[in-house]
Amino acid sequence: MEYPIQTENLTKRFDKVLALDGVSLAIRPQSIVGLLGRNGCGKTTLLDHVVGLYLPTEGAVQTLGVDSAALGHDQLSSIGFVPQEIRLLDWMAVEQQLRYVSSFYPQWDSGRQARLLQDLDLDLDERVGALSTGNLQKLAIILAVCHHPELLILDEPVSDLDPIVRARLLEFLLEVLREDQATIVVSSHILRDVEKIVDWVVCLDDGRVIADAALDDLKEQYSEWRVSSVGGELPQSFSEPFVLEQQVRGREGLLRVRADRANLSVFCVTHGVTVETHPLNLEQIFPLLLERTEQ
Amino acid sequence: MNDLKAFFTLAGRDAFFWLGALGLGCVSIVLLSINQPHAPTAAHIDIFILAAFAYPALAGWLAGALIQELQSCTFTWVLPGVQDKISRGFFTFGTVATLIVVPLVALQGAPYNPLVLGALGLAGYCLGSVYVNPGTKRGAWIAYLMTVGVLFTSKGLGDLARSHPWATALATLAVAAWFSYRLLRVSTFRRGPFRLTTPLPGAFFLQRSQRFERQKQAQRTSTLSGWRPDYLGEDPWKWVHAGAYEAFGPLGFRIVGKAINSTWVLWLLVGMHAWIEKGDDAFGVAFGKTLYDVLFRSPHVPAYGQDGPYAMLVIVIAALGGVLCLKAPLAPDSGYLYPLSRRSLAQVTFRGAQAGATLLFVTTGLVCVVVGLVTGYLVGYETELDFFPFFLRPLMATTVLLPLLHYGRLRLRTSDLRKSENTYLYLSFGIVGFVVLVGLYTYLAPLVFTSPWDEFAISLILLVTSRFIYRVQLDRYFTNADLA
Repeated sequence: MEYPIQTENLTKRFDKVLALDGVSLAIRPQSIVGLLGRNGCGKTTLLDHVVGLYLPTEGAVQTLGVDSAALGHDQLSSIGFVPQEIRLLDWMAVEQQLRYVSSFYPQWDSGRQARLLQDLDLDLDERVGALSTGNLQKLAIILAVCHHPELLILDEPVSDLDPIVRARLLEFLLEVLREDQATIVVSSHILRDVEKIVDWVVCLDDGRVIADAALDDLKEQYSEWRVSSVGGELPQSFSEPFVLEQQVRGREGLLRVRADRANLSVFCVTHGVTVETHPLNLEQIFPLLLERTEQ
Repeated sequence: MNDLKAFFTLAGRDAFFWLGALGLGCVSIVLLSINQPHAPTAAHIDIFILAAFAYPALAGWLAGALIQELQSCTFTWVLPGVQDKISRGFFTFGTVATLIVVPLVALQGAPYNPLVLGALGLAGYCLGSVYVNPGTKRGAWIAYLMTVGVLFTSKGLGDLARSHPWATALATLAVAAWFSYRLLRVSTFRRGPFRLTTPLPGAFFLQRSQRFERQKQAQRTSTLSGWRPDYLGEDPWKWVHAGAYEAFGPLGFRIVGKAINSTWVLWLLVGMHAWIEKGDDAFGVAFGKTLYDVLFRSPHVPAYGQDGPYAMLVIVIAALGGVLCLKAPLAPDSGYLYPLSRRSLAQVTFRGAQAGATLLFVTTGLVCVVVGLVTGYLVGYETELDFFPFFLRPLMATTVLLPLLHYGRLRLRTSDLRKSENTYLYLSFGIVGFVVLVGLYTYLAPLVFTSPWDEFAISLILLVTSRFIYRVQLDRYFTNADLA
């Protein structure tokens, strides 16, 4: 199996709504992939296809080397999934719920379960129906990782957690990657958190892939330039196609660009300016990716 | 995991036991009442066939609800082998239920091959499993219609079972296989939220009621035809009107259509019974006779002091009062009432309860009078209005006792019980208790009172007293209770 997840021209239509439009992806093994995008851009739909909950209108999805619609016992035993909407059996205590799910997996790791329960501060005796949204999310994550999944899919897994627990959890995901050599796909709105752990970014907009690149590559491509004029005033605006956003005032300018070193040298010479470059974080890159598609 | 544990762990909860006990009681009461020699349905019903079918159907209803609940939980969507394990538990439970019921029915002298009864039991079990399953809506409708079919053709089914036992057994097993497939196929997973205790108020209409909620929400916010808190001020009657809107949607004549629409199964049953039993009569006469006899017994029986109304009429009227009070009270949710003072809250709650009781009394009374007169006319009975006591007594008893239920509902909403998974269970036990009280009142009244006027006067005094006590309790409650 070359790629744990591979989609080919995946299209999904719900009546008149086109949720996914020709998505082609190949997720590398043992990577942590951040799936980003605005609300309703198709992230959850894509992940639901990956675990076989939805069937494509067109195209194909392969998960762990198998058509996702035909995932069998062996593949499902190797997948951990935290859905966006977490629904567990309300009437069970946390301990009962864990016991129930663990009994479906022969490889269930009780040691990992105990450690996570302690780290995430979950009470075993509490009834699932009485858990807060954050605690429910913690429990869903524990349920998804204690069988050492080969592929871990997390759909907005940290949205309701406080910053301290979020940090602990993200550390844990890195640990999972190391221990299990798992492939992890995480969709999240909290880009600052995602940035700390992901090595690959897939960005969706209106059901289409607008970026599919290593995080480091994105960071190299997108940067902020502080431009200072050597001579007179700067022009009112720069017309280079790689300039995505700009604020120019007198002799100083602040640009957000998608450019490489060659572009930089040419820009300095052409406009007679000095440029101080700063890397952008994912939170700053994300709107630029979206803007680029809108243009 | 031990494969059976995947299913039986789900069954090991309080709600399953209590629902089972409640269902067992209800099915037994219905079967016993059908089996009475004077019951109008006795002629064409085979009680053995019905018992062999109905008890497993109840077990199937419970098992189906458990499975549906599990299927709706997102964590099960990627559990390896969940379908196989659940299926094994489901069939084991069904087989055990059938193996308990069939020998008991056979011991009562059922003149059928036990294998046929077993196949019928399994079919009932699988059919029952999709009754309350919103994931298999079409299957549920077919199951309902087939149940009605079994009810009305049980005699014919019995004849068939005697003459062609193997063919009957095979056909019923095929039915079982089809329904179990509908319940357990992959696509019934991943449906909307569902809980075991939801079926009590009618999970089948879950999606419909959700649509109704959305419509109400849209009307509330987008037009003036609904209501908005800022229009209402502090006039308690306006809040009661808003409560009526919340319970029934836009008020008007369309509500009559809605009421008829939600009782069509009842009309269908009466119609089928009339058709089967009509003999030489015209259908209209048979229909009128069926309705009249079911509701008010045969004409001109000595109304006062001897025979009371049929238990079924008492149960229906009392349960109607209970359901209206608990499910559609004429007061908006506490969230909407938030800006009101505690004193106003007490007023709105009290007036809402009185409006609800009046609505129940007037509409039920009116329906009974109209049905009595029209069906009496159709059949050709003389109009002596002597059917009045049959519905008036349980209706009066229900109205007198309703404050008990109103107060219980109020306490339940703000007590720890509302957080329990068994809330609906408490509500249903509340309704059952209420029905028993109404039954006691109805059947004891003729023994206690010597004349209708005495009964009327005392009932009136009780009516006023129960309201007074309710009002005092409401004031006390809204002064002292935590309302969040």
